[in-house]
Amino acid sequence: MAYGEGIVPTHEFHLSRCHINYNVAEEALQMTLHLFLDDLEDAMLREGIDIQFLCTEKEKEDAEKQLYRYLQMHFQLRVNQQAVTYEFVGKEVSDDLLGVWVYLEVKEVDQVSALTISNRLILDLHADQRNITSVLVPPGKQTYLILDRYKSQESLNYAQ
Amino acid sequence: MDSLFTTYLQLGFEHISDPKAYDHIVFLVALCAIYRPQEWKRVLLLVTAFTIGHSLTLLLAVLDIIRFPGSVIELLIPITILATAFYNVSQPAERGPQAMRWNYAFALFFGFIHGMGFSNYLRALLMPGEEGQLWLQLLAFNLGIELGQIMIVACVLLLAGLAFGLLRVKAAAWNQFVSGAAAGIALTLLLQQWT
Repeated sequence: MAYGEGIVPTHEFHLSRCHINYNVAEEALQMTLHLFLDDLEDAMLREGIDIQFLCTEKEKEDAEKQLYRYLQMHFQLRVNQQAVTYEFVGKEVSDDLLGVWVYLEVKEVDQVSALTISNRLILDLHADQRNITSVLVPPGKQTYLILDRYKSQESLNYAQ
Repeated sequence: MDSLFTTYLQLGFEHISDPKAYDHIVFLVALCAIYRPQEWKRVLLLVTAFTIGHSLTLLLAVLDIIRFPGSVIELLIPITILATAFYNVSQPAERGPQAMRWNYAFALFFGFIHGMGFSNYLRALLMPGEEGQLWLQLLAFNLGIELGQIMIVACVLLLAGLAFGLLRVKAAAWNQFVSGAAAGIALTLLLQQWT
């Protein structure tokens, strides 16, 4: 994506997607994130992480480790009021090569009565960055959150 | 905390009315430059024709039936503004119903092009596993765009009303002024594609 902020309206939009799904059968919280690669690299650079050339031939050896480190800094979950650590399951480039899909998982979650999501990914980079986060904890309905610089955290209650 | 519908409605509304992506706004301004405030019903119909146009290409793009390179669309959108502006100033002051009907056809056709632009945005919003909700997402997003458009044209007609009523601006002069301004912005956008 070309940069043309302020001068040219290039339909450059600052958006990420995150879907959080509670898999009842596997007792796991499974997350899928879509992040634009250029924004992601810039945001990581801001945290002092060198350019990783994610999803290219030049991708650095420990790129996934660095990405995971960045995610842990800016994307956090609390399940039933307890901070949880997710695992890095994998990543793949999106078919237009502009973005990356990231898969994360929290194992051994036997029930979800409350979920707090803090999604500050890329928010420091662009003032208009928005992280659209959807959450599905069966049997509840899918909830959509628009998280941005002004409100980057939200708590959901599933207590019966 | 929101539902899918209200979230996509909001995203559609904010996408069209985002001042940083003002090319769609300029197009709408040009589209209603030849209308007087009392013709608001026709403008509403015109904007709806535009919505039908962009809904169609948006749908085709989201279903992956067609795909458009962003650079081509960014070239085409200012051309739709220029064409509308030139059409406006080439019209006689008193237009018959036949000429009016052409406007709807233009709006529909240019809607196809703008829909391609919206599709790149909406594609970034869609997630695997949500395919079952695609229609609702599209409906809410398009409705949001339509509401945003109505707000934009309402502002233009309001300004036209003020210009006619308070400043005694003539309708033909208003049309030339607004169309000229829109054409100027479109030219700037076109030139920026090469720099």
